[in-house]
Amino acid sequence: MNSIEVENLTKRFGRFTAVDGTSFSVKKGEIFGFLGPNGAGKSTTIRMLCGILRPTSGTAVVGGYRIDAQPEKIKKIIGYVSQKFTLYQDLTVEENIDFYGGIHGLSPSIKNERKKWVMKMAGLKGRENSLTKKLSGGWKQRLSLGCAILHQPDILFLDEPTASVDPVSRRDFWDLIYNLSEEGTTVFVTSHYMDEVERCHRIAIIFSGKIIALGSPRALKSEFTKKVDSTLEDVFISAIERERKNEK
Amino acid sequence: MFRIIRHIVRKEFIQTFRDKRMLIILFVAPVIQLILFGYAATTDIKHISLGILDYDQSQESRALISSFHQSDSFTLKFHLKNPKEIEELVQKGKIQAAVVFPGEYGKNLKKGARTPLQVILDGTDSNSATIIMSYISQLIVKHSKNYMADLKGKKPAGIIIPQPRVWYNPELKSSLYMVPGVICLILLLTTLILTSMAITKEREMGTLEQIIVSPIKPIELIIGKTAPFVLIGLCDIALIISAGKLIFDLPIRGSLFFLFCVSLLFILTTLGTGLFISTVSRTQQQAMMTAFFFIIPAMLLSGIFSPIETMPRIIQYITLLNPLRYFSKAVRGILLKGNDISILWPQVLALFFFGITAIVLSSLRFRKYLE
Amino acid sequence: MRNRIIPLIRKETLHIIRDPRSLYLALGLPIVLLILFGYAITFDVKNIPTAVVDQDNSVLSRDLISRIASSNYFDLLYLLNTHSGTDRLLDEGRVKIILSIPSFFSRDISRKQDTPVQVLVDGSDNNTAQIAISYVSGILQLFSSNIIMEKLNKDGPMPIEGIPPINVEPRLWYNPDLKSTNFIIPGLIAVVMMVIAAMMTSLTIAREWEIGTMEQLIATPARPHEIIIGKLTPYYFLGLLQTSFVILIGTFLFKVPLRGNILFLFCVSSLFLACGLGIGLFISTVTKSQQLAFMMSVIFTLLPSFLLSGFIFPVSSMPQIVRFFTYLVPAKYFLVVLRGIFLKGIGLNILWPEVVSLFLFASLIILACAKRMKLNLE
Repeated sequence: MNSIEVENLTKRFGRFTAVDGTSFSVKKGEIFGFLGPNGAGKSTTIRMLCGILRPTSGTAVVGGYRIDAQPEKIKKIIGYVSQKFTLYQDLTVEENIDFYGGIHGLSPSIKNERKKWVMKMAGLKGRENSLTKKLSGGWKQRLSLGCAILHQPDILFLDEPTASVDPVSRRDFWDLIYNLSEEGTTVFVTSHYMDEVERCHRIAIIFSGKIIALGSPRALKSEFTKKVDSTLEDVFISAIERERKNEK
Repeated sequence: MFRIIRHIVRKEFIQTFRDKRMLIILFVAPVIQLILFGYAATTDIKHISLGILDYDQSQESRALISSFHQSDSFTLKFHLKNPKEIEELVQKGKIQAAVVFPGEYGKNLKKGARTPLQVILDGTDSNSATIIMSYISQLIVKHSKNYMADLKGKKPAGIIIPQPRVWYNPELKSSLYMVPGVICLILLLTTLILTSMAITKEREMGTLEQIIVSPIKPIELIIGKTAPFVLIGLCDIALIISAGKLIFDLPIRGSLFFLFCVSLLFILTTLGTGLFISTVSRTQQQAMMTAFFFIIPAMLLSGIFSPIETMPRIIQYITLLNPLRYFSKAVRGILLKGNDISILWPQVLALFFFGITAIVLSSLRFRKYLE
Repeated sequence: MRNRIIPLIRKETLHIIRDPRSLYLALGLPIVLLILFGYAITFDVKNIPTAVVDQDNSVLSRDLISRIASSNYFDLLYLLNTHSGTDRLLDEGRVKIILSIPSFFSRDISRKQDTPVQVLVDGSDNNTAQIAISYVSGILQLFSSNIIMEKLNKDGPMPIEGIPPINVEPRLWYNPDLKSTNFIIPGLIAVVMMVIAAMMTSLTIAREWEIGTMEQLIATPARPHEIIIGKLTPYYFLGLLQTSFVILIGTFLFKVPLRGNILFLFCVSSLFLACGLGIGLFISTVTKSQQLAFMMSVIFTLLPSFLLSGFIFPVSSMPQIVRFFTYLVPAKYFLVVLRGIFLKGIGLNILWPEVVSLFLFASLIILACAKRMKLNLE
């Protein structure tokens, strides 16, 4: 069963085409990486899949709902961590969790249980009453992930979640994502860190709004390079070079 | 130094005008304000709606009623039957005043006896009520004088005829009074509030940190961040004056160059205050609220809206500390009276003093705040 | 659904509490306005700086001058014999009015001829000028009619008792002392509420857009009306708090009579707050920048509430076309209600047209918000 089904999705801003007829699907429980240079259309795609940006043409089905017809249904079953920093800086850790739990309509007993879970997961125990702006980058990151999964969403969208986070925090963060995936959550993540995307089950490389490569990291490596010990970086570069040649 | 400043100024302009609506707000809104102030902000009392309750129904009472009819100031709306009607109409705000003729009015007047005439006024608007009262008594005094002259059959004596001559604004147009006020208002809004908000915005968004670590000097940052709003403010002055000239036939009797020089002096004060506000505010909302705290007393105690000499003595002394007081007097003097430096030197000196003090003190504070 | 609104309200309240400076400023602003308007700003014209040029220097002219000097309206600063230098007095703004009594003043009067007195006025403040002229004319007319009486009594067999025959007896309803605070303070309530309601709400949503939290918020299942209610509720109560503040200070410190029903007052205030909050919210659905939101709220709420509502400037004196625009200003209706309740003590049976207008305005603007507030990024 597929969690996300994308068909010919296109988004234009004026004369600029941000996403150009992409199609792909993501299986349930999969960690799906979206790799591409800045401005390739990663964030635009993720926003359309979350139902907060309307596609110009084409459509997608997320968790069984069409993004153009039922965006409100989608919002109930997804979690989203946007690229911009998204916690309320003048609220404390606990107040942020209470707020996001509240607008997702969690009952008080479930909210308390989930709150404990998030505090433990993010390693924030004892800092419930700190103002969010006083937290360091890694903690903030884990807290915003925590706020996004309070309501145990089926599908989690992460837009460059580890930008500006130190390597150790990044590793911890990915361990969390693996756990979520094992529990059946579908994770859709964009990034431009190659080593990070390597951990995904499958990746799509997007360039100028088009998907130019799609497959598991291993499959992509053998498709695009001949070297034995090639990295995703080699794949990324040669995929883009091939695309440029095709354009000419 | 100037290259760096140029870059900041450019960035500031791009940010300000990214949203095309800001362009409209900054350049169309002043004209709208001018029109509003010019047409709406008038305390002239016209079309006073008057009710008449005539118990007498005599020739004499009708003569006075017809005097009211002929006057431009009054609109006779209702001829009433009983006092209850007056109460109802005043409560609903349908009439502002009512004149009640007692039953013996005509008879008493013919006898030459003292004849009372009741005038009822809606005192809710105290200002209008005073003026309406004076209009009514003027009309009645004139009427009774004519009546007596007629009664006597000859001209009893010479009377004093006031010959008003109004200088600077012969038609007493409120627009001419308001144009200088709008200039002050716009300059305050664009330079003080927008400057303080623009700097606080960088802090709120975290970009100020980025700028501080660059090799830029505080003074360059200050000039770069404030220059665009100075330019916008000056453009707005030009715009308001041209609009005032076109729409309201504003006379420009003094030197425009002198006006711009005085404006620049005044802007030093507002920029200094704007900088100061940005050093004490963490969010744009705070900056805005703090700026309001400066602006509202400054506006109300400047003599723009109500004359300073009607204020209590102690408040009159406080207004001496208000730079806007000097600026508004200078703008009015230059535009309407054609004053030059020989008359306005005390104002120029005061503005110079305030400007230098404000800019130096707040620049020092801003430097410390950056470090 | 209720479950989602409460956390939104809680969050918004916390934002307000966490920023105590803005809160204090918001609560302090009405007090500053009240004190300025209550103590400092009067629109009564008095103590007009005056100069008199007396070229006649007779008993009669001195009598006239002493009458002018003894009135409250004029502050006689200069008494001159010639015209030289008087222009400069006006230019420098030392005086606003110059009365010039001609050298043939008493001669004309004694010959029963009309005589002119020149009144030179600084018209740059048109309001004061107008009132000054009418005061001068009033004094001169009274003076003339007294002369007429004297003459008539001396001359004639007419049995007139030396008093102008028609005796005006003014009765001032609602505000017998003509205190301008009675007029200003009810109006101030409208202005203060508009500023807080519209300005603060318009900024709060723009702020979430600027910081980026709005994107997160709209990706949650919260519905537009839930976000609207959650945002508005804390400001609604803040507005009511300020209203009570102004009412308390107005009635106890400035002794403005509150003759009507206070419950009715709060009901209509709620309705007016809804209008203000609606306008603020509408602005925030149009712009995502705080600077722009601020400028728009000044232009669409503050200025109209000051200028077009009848707060200071009577609506009936405005030109037709401007008067038409005043119908779009909710403060205009609210002001009629406020003055009605405070000074006239009237109720719904008379004020229903205003209440209905406010209700219509509030519903329309909030409906427009819900329609415009899209939960997506476009």
